[in-house]
Order: sequence, then structure tokens, then C-alpha cells
Amino acid sequence: MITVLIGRALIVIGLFFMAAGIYSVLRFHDFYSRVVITAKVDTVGFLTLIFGAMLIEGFSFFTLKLALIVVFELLTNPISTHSIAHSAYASGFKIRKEVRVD
Amino acid sequence: MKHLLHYAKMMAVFAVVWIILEEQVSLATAAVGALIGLATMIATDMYVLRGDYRETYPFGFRVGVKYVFALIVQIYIAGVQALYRVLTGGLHVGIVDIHTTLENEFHIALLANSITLTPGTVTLDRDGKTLKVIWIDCVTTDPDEAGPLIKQNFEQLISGGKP
Repeated sequence: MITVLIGRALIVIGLFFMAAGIYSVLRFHDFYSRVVITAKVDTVGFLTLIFGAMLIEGFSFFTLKLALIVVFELLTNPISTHSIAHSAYASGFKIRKEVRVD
Repeated sequence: MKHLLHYAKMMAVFAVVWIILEEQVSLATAAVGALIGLATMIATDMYVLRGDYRETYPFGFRVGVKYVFALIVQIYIAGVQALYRVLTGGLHVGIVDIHTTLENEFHIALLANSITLTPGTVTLDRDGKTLKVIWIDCVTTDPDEAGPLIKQNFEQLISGGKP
């Protein structure tokens, strides 16, 4: 019972991280800062969400499959981030100074 | 036959993955998984890779588990730090070059991936043993000073404890 509650809390925290990632795209103006921030926040959100789902399910084949998903996520997520950042760099994006908007 | 022994460790891992996917714990499932893993490795060896499978992916199971746990801890630190940056603003983005001491191609790729996942950095480009990195909190552009700050202890983790 308590694990289900903790699992749900973890899923909410994960969604909060993802929402922060979306907010960061609106907040920052420089392409590179957007890439760096969204890459981190997104990964943490996804991992927390998956861990929450694991806790709710308990120990079963479903949990092990989720663990496999985590491994593949860790392998592929940085590659996609890298390819986006690399294509921007290759086509000559410059770093813009971040303007503070209050 | 010698190749079979070489592949034995990886075959065990593939068998476990196959059991998880099939949702059935039995000897037959494990055997099928191991055989499919073996066939995949041989096919990769023959048609895809230029070198030997073991030389191309020199990565032990124990090192892998240790590495994944260290990585998850770093990812959480990175996420919380990034959240703090989103809420307070104030970035100082810069691009720095860092040098690595790793020799193997696969190890360098893993290091680049780890840099992308750890706090405040994303790998941009690679030229031999030099990696170009975006750094969100760029305090120095000197490769020798920036290297240890960005790489942390991932070089040692990836190469299996050897400095």
C-alpha cells in the first residue's frame, strides 16, 4: 500500500521535472542553454517516472522490462541530444548572451 | 569452440534479456535466448564490425553495473542543478575543449555520453582524443583545468578502475 503511494508521488515528481523542462524552453533564449537544460531535466523526469511505475508494480516481469527500458534510455538519450547540438554547431550557431527577463 | 567460450559471458546476459522479454523462466527459453545472442554476435562479427567483438566492446558486466549506478546518481545531481538554473536563471554558456586519456573508441563514446548526462555539459564534437563540450557554467576555457571538472571520475569508471 505504502509503495503504491510512494510510486505515485515519484510519478508526480517526474512530471514536475518534465514541466520544468518545457518552461525552460520558453524562458531561455539561447539555443545551447535550451539544449543543455532540457536534456538534463527531461532525463531526470523520465527516470523518476519509470522508477515510480516500478514501485507501483512490485517485482515482476513488467518491472524487469522497465529496467531494460531505463538501460536503453540511458544509451540513446545522450545520442539524440548530441546529434541535435552537433547539427546546430556544424551549421554555425553562435552563443547568445542570456538576457534576464523579469 | 574457443570463440564460444569468449562469448559465454555475453550469452548469459542475452539469455536473461530474452527470458525477461518472453516472460517465462525455463531452460528452453534460456537456451533459445543464448543461441539467438550467439547468432547475433557472430553475425555482427562477420558483417558489421571491422575488428573482433570483444576488442570492439571491452566492457565487463561488473564495470557496467557500477557505471550505471554512478551515472544515475550524477543524472539526479544534474537534474536538480538544472532545475535550480531554470528557476533562478543566470547562465554563463561557453564551449571548451577537453582531452581524454582513453584509447578505445567505444570507451570514448561512453565518456561522451556520460558528459552529456552529467551536470551542465553536452558533448558537441570530437576530434581524435579531444572532445568539444558546451558548458553551462563556464568558469575556464583552459582544457587542462576544465578536464577534471567536466569528466569527474568517469574515465576510471569506464576503463574499469585502472587510472
